Amino acid sequence: MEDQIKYLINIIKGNDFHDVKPPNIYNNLKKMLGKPLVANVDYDSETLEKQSEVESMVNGIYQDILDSHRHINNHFEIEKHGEFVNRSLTIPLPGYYKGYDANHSWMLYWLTNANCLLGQQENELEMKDLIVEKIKTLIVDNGKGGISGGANQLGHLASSYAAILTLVLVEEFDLLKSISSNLYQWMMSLKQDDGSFIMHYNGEADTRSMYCALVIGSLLNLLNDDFTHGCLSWVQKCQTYEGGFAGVPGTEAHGGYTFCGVACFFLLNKSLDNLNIDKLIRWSVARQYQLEGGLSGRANKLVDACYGFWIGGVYAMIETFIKAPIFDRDSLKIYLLNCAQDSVKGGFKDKPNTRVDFYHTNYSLLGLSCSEYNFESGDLLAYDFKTNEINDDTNVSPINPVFGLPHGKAEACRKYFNN
Amino acid sequence: MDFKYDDITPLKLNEAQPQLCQILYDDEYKTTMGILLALMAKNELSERALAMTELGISTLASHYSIWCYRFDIIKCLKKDLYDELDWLESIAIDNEKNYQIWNYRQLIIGQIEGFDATREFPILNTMILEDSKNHHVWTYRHWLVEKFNLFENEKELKFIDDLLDDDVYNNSAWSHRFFIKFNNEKVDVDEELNYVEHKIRISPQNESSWNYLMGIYEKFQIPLIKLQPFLNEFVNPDIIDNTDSEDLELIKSSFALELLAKTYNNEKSLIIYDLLIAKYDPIRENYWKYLKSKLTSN
Repeated sequence: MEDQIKYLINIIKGNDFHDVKPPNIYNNLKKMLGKPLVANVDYDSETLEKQSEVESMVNGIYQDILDSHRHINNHFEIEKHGEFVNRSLTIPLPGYYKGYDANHSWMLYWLTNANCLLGQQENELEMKDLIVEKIKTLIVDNGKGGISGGANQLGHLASSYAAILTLVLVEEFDLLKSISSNLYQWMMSLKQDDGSFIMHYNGEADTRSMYCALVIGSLLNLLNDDFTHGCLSWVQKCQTYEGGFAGVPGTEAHGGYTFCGVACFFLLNKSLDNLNIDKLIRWSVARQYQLEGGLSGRANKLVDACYGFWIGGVYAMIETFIKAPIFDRDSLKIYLLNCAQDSVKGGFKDKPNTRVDFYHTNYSLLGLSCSEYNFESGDLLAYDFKTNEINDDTNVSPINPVFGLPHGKAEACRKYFNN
Repeated sequence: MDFKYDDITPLKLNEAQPQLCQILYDDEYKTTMGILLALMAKNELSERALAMTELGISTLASHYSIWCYRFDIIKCLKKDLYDELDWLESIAIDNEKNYQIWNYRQLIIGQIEGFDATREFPILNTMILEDSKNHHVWTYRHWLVEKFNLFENEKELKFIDDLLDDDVYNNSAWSHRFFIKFNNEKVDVDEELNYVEHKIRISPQNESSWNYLMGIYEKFQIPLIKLQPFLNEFVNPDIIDNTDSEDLELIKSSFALELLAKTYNNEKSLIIYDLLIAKYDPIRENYWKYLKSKLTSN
């Protein structure tokens, strides 16, 4: 606390920013490392073994920070992340990236979005032509077949979602406009009698595909009664006895699906009164773990940086509804910056002993944003967010949690399509 | 069998430069995918195309377009669907985290009349024993139970029992159990309550088993107050009047304490939430404060 006050006073006095130390995380680390007074029992299983491996790894990292007196630390390597993202976009990727050959639109979204969250807007405009050129190779038959994950492949709802978000990031609305009515027809061909959408011709239907369809429909102003028919009741059925949402009714509550499920209510402009909010909150807050500070995707599974957003985004949406803070922002931030950040090469990873990738980099930055701002919402649930910095030590841009985009991007798109 | 593809001009993969996220494909990949995409473009439903999809899928199982194409070929050529299921098993074992395989399996089984669903148990059990929380496999298992009405299948029930005996923290198994038990009108609710209470006693600080218990209470609208004697096995309720007592301090389960607050729903609950903040679950401080504010505003 004392350090934080000194830090703030220094800023007010106008001292050189670089001479000012960021807030002390000592007390917070002490709290995370403190053992709750719950008795251990003599029981052993695969789940507990995996959990204790992660705990001892994370404990080592936090203990080192405390011992080395570097505890005035939560350093964010913004330049390294910027370089990592730039390099990944522009330098050809080695052959083993062929594993992503059906995910070209996802790669573009993850990296362009990360770029934007890091505040590298100018850079983005320079790349705009290349982004648009590449996405044109993914659009199938002017949108009549959707947008694919790679040239000459089939249209896929999730690939379309990622490609469209990328175009929204670089504000290429005219291209979107030119394919929007074809995309509408294509999405209607994926709609099922029960209200859900399948991902592609002969594909699977789940909360992800419904979320992707509603995001596209909402951004391009295509939502009408035919399109949204049955959506609300279908997604309501996906809330499980635990409180989170499953991919399809009756399966296990899961962080990614819970994000998609809750965001659907916002996209349909339906209040969270339409789901069991108490149970949702209880399950969501249980995803944060005492020692790690990071978030898990399911009960008794391990923390993973990507849930900083999938669950962090759910927290943001819940908070706009209950108008109170619901999770431990500082502890999540400590996990992301000290366990998931690669401070040498840039980028973010799932856990300390894994490697950075594009996916975890994007969702860690989005998660970091959830921990650095608080959220309020207005009448138009998905587009009326107000974000406020919690401290002065913010590292990334504020976001719109429903879309996973920097704040202002989805809003600009909606404005374009409503005119 | 060797097939000829000389008449097919492989489609070029995107090697335009400069290109964002350009992948440096090797020649073998370019040839395989180039031929496959060319065959797909002219929608050739033939034996040689089928062979090519096999090569394509073993190269990159997440290439969803190839799966769709293969399904069209299999139907058109009226291939033996059981052979297809067997082939699929070998692909599944090498690609644990794949979405397409299990959806494809559903499509194939949907084409078979009079399918014996228990034929699926060996591969499913192998996959789950390999990775006991594999979401894709569990979702498929859920589909199978629902489609073929396996709610009372003894092997299915035994499999779930065994998994939870091995690892009472396996939330996927708990979740599947809830689905099976409570979609069956003949379920004995008391027996299930005894079962989960027994599992909680084995290891009381377990989110999964407590969620299961609370799920039953909610589904059957059982008054929470009935839980108090059970909760007292894990927390001595005197702790509320003696918050500083070192003798009472060490509890067996924070979930029991949380539920105790719910059963009281009065000033005692406020004391419990403060205890959770101070000693038992500090990471959720904001949540406990939120519950306190809800209680006092009522």
